[in-house]
Amino acid sequence: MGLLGTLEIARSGLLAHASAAAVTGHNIANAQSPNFSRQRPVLTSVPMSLSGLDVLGTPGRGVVLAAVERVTDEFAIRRLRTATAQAGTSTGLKASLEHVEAVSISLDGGVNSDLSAFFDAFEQLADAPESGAMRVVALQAGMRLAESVSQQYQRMFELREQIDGWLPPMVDTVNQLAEKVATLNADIAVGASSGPLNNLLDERDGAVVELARLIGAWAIAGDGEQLDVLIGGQRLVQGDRAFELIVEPDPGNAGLLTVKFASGTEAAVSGGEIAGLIAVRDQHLPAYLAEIESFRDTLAAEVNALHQAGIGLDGSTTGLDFFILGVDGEINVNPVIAADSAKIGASAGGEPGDGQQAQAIADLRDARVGAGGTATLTELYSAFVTRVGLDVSDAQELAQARDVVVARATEARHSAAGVSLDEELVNLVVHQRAFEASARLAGVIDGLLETVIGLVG
Amino acid sequence: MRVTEYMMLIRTQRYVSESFKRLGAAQEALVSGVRIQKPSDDPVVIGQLYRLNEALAKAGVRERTLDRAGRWLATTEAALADITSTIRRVHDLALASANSPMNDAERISILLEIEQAMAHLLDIANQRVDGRHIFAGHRTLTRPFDPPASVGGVPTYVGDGGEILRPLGGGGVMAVNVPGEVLFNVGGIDPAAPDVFVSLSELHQRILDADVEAISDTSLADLESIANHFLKMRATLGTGLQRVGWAQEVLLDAELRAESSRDQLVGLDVAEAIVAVQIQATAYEAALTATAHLLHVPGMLSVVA
Repeated sequence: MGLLGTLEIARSGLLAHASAAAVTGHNIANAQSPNFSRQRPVLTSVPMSLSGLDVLGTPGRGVVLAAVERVTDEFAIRRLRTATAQAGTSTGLKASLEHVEAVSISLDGGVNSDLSAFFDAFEQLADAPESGAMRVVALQAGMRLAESVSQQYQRMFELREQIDGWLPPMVDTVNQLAEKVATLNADIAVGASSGPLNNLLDERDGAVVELARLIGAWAIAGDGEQLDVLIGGQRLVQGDRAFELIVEPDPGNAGLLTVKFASGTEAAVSGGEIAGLIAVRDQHLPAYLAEIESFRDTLAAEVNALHQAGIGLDGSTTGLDFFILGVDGEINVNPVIAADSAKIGASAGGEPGDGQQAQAIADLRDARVGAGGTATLTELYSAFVTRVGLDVSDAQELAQARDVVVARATEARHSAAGVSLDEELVNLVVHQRAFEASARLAGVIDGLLETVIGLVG
Repeated sequence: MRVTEYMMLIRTQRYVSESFKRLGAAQEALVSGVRIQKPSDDPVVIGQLYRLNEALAKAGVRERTLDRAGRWLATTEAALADITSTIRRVHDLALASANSPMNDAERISILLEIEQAMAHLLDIANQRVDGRHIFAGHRTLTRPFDPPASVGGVPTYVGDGGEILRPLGGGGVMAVNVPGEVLFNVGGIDPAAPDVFVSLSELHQRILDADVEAISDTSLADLESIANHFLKMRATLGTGLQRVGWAQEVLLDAELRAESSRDQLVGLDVAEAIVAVQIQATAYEAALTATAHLLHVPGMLSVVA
């Protein structure tokens, strides 16, 4: 091999190590990028001949940066996707149930204390059934209780609509992400033959994890380097094509929104935040509404049965319902009574000083009239509050546990793919030294050439 | 496991944020003074808490009921004391008119006093508490005895026999009123005594007629039976007052127990809460210190440079 050949080796060293330093620089720059996978320069020696066989007595033609490898752990990424989808579901559950609890339940006031005040007022009315003041107190306590129960029902009902309103922007985001994955798939298909795809692959991984969090998506390998994204068993992204999701009112579910593919096929959303929200909207809230309905109906039926048998202060009014059930789950005090508290049927025998019927209504406090004769009205209501409390605390515990799993999965992914600055700095120094040495080699060969040229002169 | 700076960073961020959240919760509990702010804080005790709240509310209103019952009974008791002394005075007057011969002036004076006594008894019978006629049975808005058409006549009872039954707690009820017809034995409800107003009216007529024999043979015996009748009523009433007193004691005891259970259930042990805040504050500080330390650990960068 001649001096010029050796000079060529020095040149290859300079180029290869400058490129390797660039890879290290790219890693350092992305040390804090969440989806980034570190890259590794693959340096290979160049054989003397094209056939790869070295000529006797010649070392080869130097070095070349053969590839820039993406260091990643496919298994860790899959685990992260699954964990994120599950955590998404519990986050959706937790967020919406916490909202339900905060908006609709008060431990100090609300239905429970109004129910208590209602019984108190009727017991005091029984003490002085001919007293106009006591009648007004009892009437107002009844109105307040009715309003509280109606509000509680109304709020639960509105919460279904509120949570429903959270779906469209989330589905929009899913569509954007699906579109992004499809575009990246297309770019990757084009780029596969022309150059490195590492950064595109990272970006696609990040988008798929986000889809897992939102809608419980999972992925399978498609053609070539492509990734198909699925929800349930249906493809959301196939190669370079994304299937758009839409939300549509479902007449079979009180006009609340249902998630569908634009083609009209029902989307089987079984994971992610969207599934959590839908579970609260379609399972938890209807169950709560049913419990409030049961409480409301039992209250009205029991109070009315006793009140109908009571006689008003005028000695003749009887057979009146105290509570009237209205539309939209409302409960109200009978307007006839609301207009004239003398019509409260406090008396059993018809005389003004007889408060036995009012006392019988006050005694409902301890009567087991709900849940098939096993619970008092207070217990019926507290069972509902306990249920909400348990659902919230279960969701919180589940969300916390799943967040830890996501954190572990994220760590596992970063353990393989994350950038260690220490490693990169060592690599940088190595490449720097190799570059310097190559430059020195070029200088030495230059000196040798000068000597040779001097001989000629 | 390979560890990178970014892993350390997200791990530290998570720990610091969790630690701060726990400190916030401990502080919130201390500041609010209650352990349970919302159902999810401890769902299992909600049923118990509501039952105790209910028991306390019921005790509060029952206390007022018992106070009112006590007031009615005490008023009836005072009326009975008044009635008894009036009857005793009438008895003395009857005795006087039966034992010694009297001139017209003396007889008229006794007659007048008996008429006053009868009017006084009628006032007592028609008295009101809080605007309610307490001796009218259930007809509390009606004056129970209509005054007689003529002086010395018999008032007409227009109330009813309704008993005002109030709960004592523990499922027991008691009548807090005595209907006027029972009190004054209208129509001889108590067979051991005659009708009070009828007897007095007869006595009035006998004194007017100077029928000494009938006074000493019938009226004196009637008045003694009447005195016995009121004595029995006072004894019954005394028992009633005692029952109210006992019920009040039992109620107070139950209220105290419910309050203490409630306190144990939702109340906060302040000392424990302060310690909890301190522990969480220390933990948070430790997390911050660890983070600061981590940020200052010299990496390869400082060595290479």
